[in-house]
Amino acid sequence: MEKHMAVCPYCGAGCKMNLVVENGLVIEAEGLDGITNEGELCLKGLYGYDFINDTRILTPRIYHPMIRREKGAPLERVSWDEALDFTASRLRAIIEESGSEAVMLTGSSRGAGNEANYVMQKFTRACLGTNNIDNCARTCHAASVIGLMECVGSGAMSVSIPVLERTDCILLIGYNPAASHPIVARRIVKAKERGADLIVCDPRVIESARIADLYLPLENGSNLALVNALAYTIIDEDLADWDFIDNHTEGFDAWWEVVQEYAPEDVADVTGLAPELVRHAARRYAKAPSAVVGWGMGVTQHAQGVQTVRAIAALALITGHIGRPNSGLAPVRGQNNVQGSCDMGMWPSLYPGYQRVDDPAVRAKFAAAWGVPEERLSLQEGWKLTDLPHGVAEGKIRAFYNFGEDPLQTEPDTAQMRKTLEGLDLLISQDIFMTQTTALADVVLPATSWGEHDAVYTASDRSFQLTTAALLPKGECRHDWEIFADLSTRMGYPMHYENTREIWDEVRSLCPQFAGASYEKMAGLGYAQWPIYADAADDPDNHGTSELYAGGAFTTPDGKGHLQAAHWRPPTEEPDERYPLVLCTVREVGHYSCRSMTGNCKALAALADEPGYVSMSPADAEARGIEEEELVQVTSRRGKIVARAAIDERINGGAVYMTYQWWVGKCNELTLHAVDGESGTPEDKYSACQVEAIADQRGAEERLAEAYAELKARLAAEADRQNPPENAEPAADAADPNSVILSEGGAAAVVEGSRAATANNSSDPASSSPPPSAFAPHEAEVAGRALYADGEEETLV
Amino acid sequence: MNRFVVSDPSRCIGCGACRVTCSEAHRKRALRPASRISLVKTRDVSAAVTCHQCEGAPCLSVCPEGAIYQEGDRLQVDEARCTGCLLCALVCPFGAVYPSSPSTAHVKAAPYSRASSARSAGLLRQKETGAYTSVVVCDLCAKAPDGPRCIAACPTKALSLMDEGALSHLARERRIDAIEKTNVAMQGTAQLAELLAAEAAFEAADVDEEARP
Amino acid sequence: MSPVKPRVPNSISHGQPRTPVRSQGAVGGSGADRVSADQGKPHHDFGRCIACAACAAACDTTAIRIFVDEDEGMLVWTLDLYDCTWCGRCAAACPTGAMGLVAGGAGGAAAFADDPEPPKRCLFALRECASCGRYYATNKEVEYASSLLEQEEGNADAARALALTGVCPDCKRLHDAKAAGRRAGMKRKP
Repeated sequence: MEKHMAVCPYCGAGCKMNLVVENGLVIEAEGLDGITNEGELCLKGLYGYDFINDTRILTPRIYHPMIRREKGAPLERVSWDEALDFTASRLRAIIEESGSEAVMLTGSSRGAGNEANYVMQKFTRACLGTNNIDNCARTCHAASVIGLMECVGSGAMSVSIPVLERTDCILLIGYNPAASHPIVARRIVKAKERGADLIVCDPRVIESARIADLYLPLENGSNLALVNALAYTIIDEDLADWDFIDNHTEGFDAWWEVVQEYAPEDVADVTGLAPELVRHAARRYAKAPSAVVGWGMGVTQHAQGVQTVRAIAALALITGHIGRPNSGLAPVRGQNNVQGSCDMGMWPSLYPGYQRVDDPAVRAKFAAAWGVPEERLSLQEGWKLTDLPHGVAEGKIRAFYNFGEDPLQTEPDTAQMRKTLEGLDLLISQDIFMTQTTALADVVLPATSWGEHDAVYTASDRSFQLTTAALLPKGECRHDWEIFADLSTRMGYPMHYENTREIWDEVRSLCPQFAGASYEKMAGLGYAQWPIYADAADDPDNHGTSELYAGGAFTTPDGKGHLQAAHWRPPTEEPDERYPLVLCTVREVGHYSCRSMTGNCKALAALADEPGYVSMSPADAEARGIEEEELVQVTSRRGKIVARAAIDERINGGAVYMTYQWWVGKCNELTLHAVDGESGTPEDKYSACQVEAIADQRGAEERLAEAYAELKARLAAEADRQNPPENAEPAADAADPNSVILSEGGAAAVVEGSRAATANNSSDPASSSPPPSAFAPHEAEVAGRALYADGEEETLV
Repeated sequence: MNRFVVSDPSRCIGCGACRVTCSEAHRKRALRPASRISLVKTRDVSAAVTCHQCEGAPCLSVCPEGAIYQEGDRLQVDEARCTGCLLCALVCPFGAVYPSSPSTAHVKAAPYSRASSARSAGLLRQKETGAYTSVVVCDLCAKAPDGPRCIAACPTKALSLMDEGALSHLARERRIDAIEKTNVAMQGTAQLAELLAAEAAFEAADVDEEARP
Repeated sequence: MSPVKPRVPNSISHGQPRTPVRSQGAVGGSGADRVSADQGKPHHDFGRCIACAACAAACDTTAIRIFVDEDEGMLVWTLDLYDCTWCGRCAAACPTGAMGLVAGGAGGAAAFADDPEPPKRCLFALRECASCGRYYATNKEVEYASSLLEQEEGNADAARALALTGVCPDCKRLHDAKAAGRRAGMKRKP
């Protein structure tokens, strides 16, 4: 038994843990005394490790490179040389025909780490010559990054996670820490016990609302009106910090022009809140000696995300709750390294270290360091991830390099996304699992997973931490950075690194803000919080900057905080008679993102499985004749899916909530692909839908089970193409179709489906595979009904 | 005085770490993997609910097989003896006895063989699917070296083991609770409605008390 | 061979033979030829049965099945000897002695396949939870459990349990959680 130190690969809290390895398998995770987690782990941290062992519960891992020689051809296992040469020649051909702007790449904000992302963006910029690189922050906190960079200078959390425990007032807007970041929620619980005020604005009674001092159940889609009303109250009741406004901010007069129309009394119809409640909340926040505003997707995944972030920043600026101890802004990041992806310049307008691509001086620096002529590096801002659908539709994007993401699961409007991916000339997917996106890819490149490589992750509060490999790479898997470097070399821009440390040192040399974050500083339980400059490298007690903007020194070009306001406008798609409910996508505590990782973890998969729940208020359920746990049909203008009803008194009337992890109950089939014009973040929190009862519950359960088994079988069949036939056969023999329900579920179903698929050799194996016997209706049920008609009746009690 | 795991709803964030930990801790020790804890969420309360380790354990009294027994200060189920008649689950005053199947495979399969609608409570639904062979009850992780795993796993430290000291804190409510319940209990089941009304009144009184500044 | 429909593999079916035999005593019906053997043809005594479903859970071939008819408020218990293998596990599992075994010919189960008996079906009225109104057990089961608890004199815990047999486990959990909420509420006060 050996133990290897790692940083949790799930949310952005950055929890340190030990992976316990026995016989080449990870068997346990133990919390370590890291800076944010203090020895605690949430359930994903505790039980989210066994996907590394390739449990095949949901979908198999990929161990060998595969290519599709032409569109529509089956995936074929090839050598690394062949796969990379094929990729290089296809990319080269597309670039020659349509220019490098026709290639779009997305970084991985998950287990891959900063080094891999850095090498990928270097490949993109120096080798391909484009800035078409983005990351999934686009679908989550892009609004925060853009809004905050304008208003205060940096898109990251201005405070540290531990600060939440020390502050006097926590204002949460559109953020459910109990589900998204249990380890952050823990700080909030402790702050509350210490006597801090907790103010929660959320349409649902989330866990933190339940223990809040003030709970503001605002109407879905009224964020900006509420935040403006809070700001109005602070000015109206003279609670503002005028010295701070005078000395450290710009633009008050123009800001007030807008905000003065937002008296709580005037917007009560929009927010649905009693004016006195809003005023009370504003007073509590403004009067607190120190205060932190935390927000999440509830703010950013709206069409006015950026404007709401600016309004929140304004709250902190007018009260001076920023730049002083235990006060600030906390947009808590959803993924373990989404902050890192942004840090590494996986952003169409930024080099690593938040240096602008359109700044010629920056370009000169990077060109010199990377040994390319300056003209090679584009000054043009690249495509955003959410530009992909129309970019492909208009023929502007022809190749997409997908690195560790599953857009088919996580992006809005799945039908449109599927069309987009199918419309590409070249889809490269570098992943650890056979995901729905990988199954469509023309090139499949198997990478090492979290736990199989060393890397630096950036936690949500700007802390760099080191995660280490617990296991050797499996099969032919290679480290992500090795793949990019090799591909770049084959495309005429040679890159070679010995290890991640060499890459990281290059990052430090190019990004002054990260220069002090040496591997030594991050060893063991160490961490380095940027900005951390070169002089900190040799001082073991210097961990960088816990709180940004000390004394009101903002990092905007003029050093001031910028007050900017905008008018509230209604969400894009309002409920109507046909689709009278608001659909809002939320987080599942036990599952993570596209579920390829957590869905393959035994304990987590057992906790929650398909088709996921649609949570609704008792009144809405009753009006539709829907009962708890029943399967229901959810429809929108984009599509229809089946989900299980959760009737929950915590849910506000007129709205339903779904988590976006599920394949069968995939809420992104329903969501509207409207985006915030500035950030490109989709309006996932607001689309119109209808929920209907299904009369034939039994049939629905059967169809659900079949659909799920088919999906799993289809992906397994795709993954199976990486195995040479002689290995596949014994596996197929071992599978007894009847044993599916009794075994660990995934594995047996998988082999069955793959055999069917190989036999038929059709492009759509799912449709031709036999109906899975795994989830037959319960026999007692069928028999009970049959006997009811003609059995022998005894007595009635 | 028996000790048992209690939950503090002012700390609970309803994350389910206790349930998963319970299930994993028992699975690793070759016991049924079903969670011995359930998570109850209302508008005001989130709490993990589990066995109270009653000294006069009604579950033990009704067991026809002698499959539930007292070991030291806690209850233990002999999973091989239990036949799954669920009488214990029916009588448990806290609803903390759970039917369980032999492996997690079953837990996973259960949603797909869900038999009846929500008009019948969980127990009946389980009987219909028949996907259980034994009950499970919190055994305070008797087989684990350092006590209940759920308490160790809870990230907000919402769970604790009630001992004498902790109990004295709660003496007042428990006294009222106990008196009310036993009073009505002695008069038989006919007074059930009264019991429930009394409980509701107690709750209302408590709410009023809290509302006052 | 009769078609064997595998039910749930469980410790009973895969485990060691049990020693189930309880006194079959004075039972109505065809008591004369009842035996206390490990295996045999099952006989069901409706009068004693409380529809606890232990037999159905124990039955590997789904010869005994349970079906809940919510519209009628009935639990339907069925025994189809066509599927029965005479394994005797149902009798072993029965807590009330309602399932017994009858001595049969040497032909065993196979003999019965040629001489099918009509399936037996019993209906049991369901009990609604006094708190939430949903069905949660049969009337007979609740009464049986209550009668067992009544025998526990001077046991306060049993008395409390007795008072609550009319409430479903789901509601009892809810009440317990609310009690925890009250305790937490008190703790917050200075």
